[in-house]
Amino acid sequence: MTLELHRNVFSEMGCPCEISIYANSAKAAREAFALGEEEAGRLDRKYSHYRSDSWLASFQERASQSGGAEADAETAVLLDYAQSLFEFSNGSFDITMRPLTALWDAVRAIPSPEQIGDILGRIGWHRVFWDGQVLSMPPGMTLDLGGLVKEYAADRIAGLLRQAGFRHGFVDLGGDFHFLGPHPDGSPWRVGIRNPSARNAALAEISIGSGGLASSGDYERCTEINGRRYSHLIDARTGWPVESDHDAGLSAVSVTAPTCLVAGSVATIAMLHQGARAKAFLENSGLAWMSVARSGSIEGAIQ
Amino acid sequence: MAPGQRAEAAAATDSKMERYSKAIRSLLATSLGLPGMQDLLAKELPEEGADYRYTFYDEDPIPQNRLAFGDPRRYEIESHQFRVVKNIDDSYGLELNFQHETMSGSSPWYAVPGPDGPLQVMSGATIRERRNQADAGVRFLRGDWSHHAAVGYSSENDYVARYGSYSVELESADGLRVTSWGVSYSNDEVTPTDAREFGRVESADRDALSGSLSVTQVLSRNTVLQGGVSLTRQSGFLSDPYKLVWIGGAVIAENRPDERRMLTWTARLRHFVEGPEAALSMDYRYFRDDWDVAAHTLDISWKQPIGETWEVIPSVRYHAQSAPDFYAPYFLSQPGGIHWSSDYRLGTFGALSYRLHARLKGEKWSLSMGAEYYDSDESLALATPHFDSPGLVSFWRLSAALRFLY
Repeated sequence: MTLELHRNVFSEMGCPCEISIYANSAKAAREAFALGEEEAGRLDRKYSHYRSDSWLASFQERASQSGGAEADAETAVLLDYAQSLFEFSNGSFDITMRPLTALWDAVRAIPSPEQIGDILGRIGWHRVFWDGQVLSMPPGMTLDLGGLVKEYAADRIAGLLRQAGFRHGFVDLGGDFHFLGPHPDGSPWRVGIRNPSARNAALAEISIGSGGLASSGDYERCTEINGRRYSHLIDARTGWPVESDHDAGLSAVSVTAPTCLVAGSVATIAMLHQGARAKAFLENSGLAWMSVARSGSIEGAIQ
Repeated sequence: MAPGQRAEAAAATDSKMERYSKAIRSLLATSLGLPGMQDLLAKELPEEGADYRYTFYDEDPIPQNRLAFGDPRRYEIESHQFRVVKNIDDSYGLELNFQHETMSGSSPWYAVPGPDGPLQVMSGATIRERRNQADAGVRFLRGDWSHHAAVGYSSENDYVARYGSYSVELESADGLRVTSWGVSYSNDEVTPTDAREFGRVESADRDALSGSLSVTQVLSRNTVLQGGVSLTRQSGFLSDPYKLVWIGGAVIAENRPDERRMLTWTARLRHFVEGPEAALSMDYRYFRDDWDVAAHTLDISWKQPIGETWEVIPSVRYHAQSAPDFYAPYFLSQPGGIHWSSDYRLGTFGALSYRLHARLKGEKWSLSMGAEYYDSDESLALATPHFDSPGLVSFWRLSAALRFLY
């Protein structure tokens, strides 16, 4: 039996995805791909906020009624995790901030302070009651797990593949990676980090054998209003997007961690911090990271 | 180990985890609680780094009321240990250890009858010796299997030891259990100093072969239990060539059996305590051999982080053992069997040791300091000893260690 690398490219959760694994046969690889795609689809159907028929949509509806809604085990841990992130980021990262994102997405002009203030008065994880089992929230409030689910899905699929006996390969869900293990000869995978200003040019290469790798950057989506760039990343405390006009501002951060979920959260919080605070935050975390400033300068070392 | 449960339990023990800030460890622990995440933490080689450790070991002098004659000052050992771990790639790692020790002091020879029990005779001259030890190991990962092989060599002026070991570890599909098997072999050669002058054996050797099995099971989010058993067979010259026995007024060399089969059971519990975010360890060991020696050892430690950079680890250890039939501090007449020993280390006794370690962690380094006081006494034994063993030792051990991560 010889292990050969099999590659599968597909689209899920609104982004290009890839599963690459070493398998004994094309059949074994196909089974792995099916397992992965099915799981990505399941999580998208369950947690997507784009789908009005998603499980999440009905869950939050029940949570807005008196008595609240009981979460299943998977959702309970995701909510626990979201709560930890809310505390860890001092409220900048908040899964109830969807209306803010929608406001900034919709307008072609800077929203008025009244518009922002109105929304800030209606959102916020601190207004939610969550005891680890039952979620209860004010009517009209919504949950957006978009900042967590793709990363979790990468981890989860990698976990399923490991359970199925695969040890060498990776899962990539639109730039959120989980590496099951290095190539069979022990050599690491090499991943190019894109240049934020020239999308297809790789700016740096990261070597990684196992664990999660995630990036957060404003090259994904960006709004330009009156000649100023506004990131899609919005600070839930202020209601304003992260300003990334200064040269010293960060345009992208990549982080590696034992899980993609943690890597993604840390990268996002670093982007929300911006500047010197971001660097101190990343250095404090103990994780490996790399940041690209708007000026193009690169800091940090992943390997 | 692997799963979500692992993150918390391991947070205090796994050096890789320790590198992460407390907030990151807590996020990881939560994220690993998600279903299907149990298998995620792929096996990793130990972290690369270099260590230096200095240890000063100082035995208390033998009390005058237990001394017949000889120098009351006992052993003092200074030891320098160096360790380097270097990973070649993601699946191969090398480790090198070197240790240099200097020993001085006098050691217990034999005991004689005294008015209130046996009295210890110590060697007169101060012994000064050096010991050097080097070993090298390779660790490699293959799928779920992790292999480790090592060889080593230790040399002092009257003793040479060569040894080798191989062990393999397998993680279960659910990541909740790790099983490991190991074998080790050693061949020692002893060439006592002043052999002719003191009628000691001129040269002798001994072998030891040992096999072990252990199973580590994650019981819950915060608790890990390990059970293990090991079997060892020693053969050859198992006596200490410097130890003597007083038999009816004559003093002759001790004579132990030339074979010994030993069985050890161990149980280790690691529990992460959420409130203080501390790790509690409880280790129990039961030992039994065909010389009829039985021993129980219980070790309890508490690892308490203080802030992000400090860690304090108080611990206490209790040990109790029973003596073989051929042990007595002295023999008034020729013993019935053909074996005899008055080495206090084979007597019935109990011992308590108290330790305190503190560790300061930087981003790429850590500094540890530790102190231990050990006291052994007949009164601490589980069974009532038939004899007093005047050579029973108490000592201080102080250590300082510096560690660098690449």
